[in-house]
Amino acid sequence: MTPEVAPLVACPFCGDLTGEAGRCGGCGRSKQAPRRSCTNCGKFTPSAEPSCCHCRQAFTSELAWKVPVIIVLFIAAIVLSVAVRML
Amino acid sequence: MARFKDEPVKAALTAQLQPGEQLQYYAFGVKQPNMGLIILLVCLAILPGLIAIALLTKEYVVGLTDRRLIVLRVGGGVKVKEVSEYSLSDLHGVKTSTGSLFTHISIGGAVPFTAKFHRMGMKTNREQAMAIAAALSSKALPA
Repeated sequence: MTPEVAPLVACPFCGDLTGEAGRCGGCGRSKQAPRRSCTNCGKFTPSAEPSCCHCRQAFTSELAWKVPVIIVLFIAAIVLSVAVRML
Repeated sequence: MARFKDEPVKAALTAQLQPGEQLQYYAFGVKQPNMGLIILLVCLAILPGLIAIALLTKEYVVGLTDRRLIVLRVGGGVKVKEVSEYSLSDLHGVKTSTGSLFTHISIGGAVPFTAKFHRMGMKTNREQAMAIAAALSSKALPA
């Protein structure tokens, strides 16, 4: 009976095939770590890292633009309702 | 009406598969902000509140394979923003429930995941989400 061989899994970050099933032998990163797509180069980089491991583009939180938009929406709604009352 | 068609969802998940890995089920789900925040935002102003909730809602496509649960956070169609994966041999803190509209799936551990899957999310979203929930519940280790 032949022993079961673990499938060869390429590192999602550097593409290296060496190392264990869980950790890359090339870059040392966990192959199962949550990863996000870089808006600049489109490649995956670990979510825990502050910048892309390929092109060094810094990541910004999505809330950085969403929270100001939400605040502006509420201010606009309040201003509009006050203006309508004053007419 | 379905949010996504099956083909782009399957294509996005297939791109994440390892050699020899088989995609079994896939479903579309969302994670909305905290219910208290939803009530507060809608009470402040209805239309901006609803827009804020839409902006703060995260959309997920999940795929169950013979080895893993793959979670894709998507936006603007099926554009993959973030990928998380959970090995079926190492699942902790799995909680699932099914109501009349939604199937809820929650996974604990180092990278927690929670989402709810509306029956109209995709053509066969309810069946697929329930199949994923059943498979995860059967494979989960004690929390």
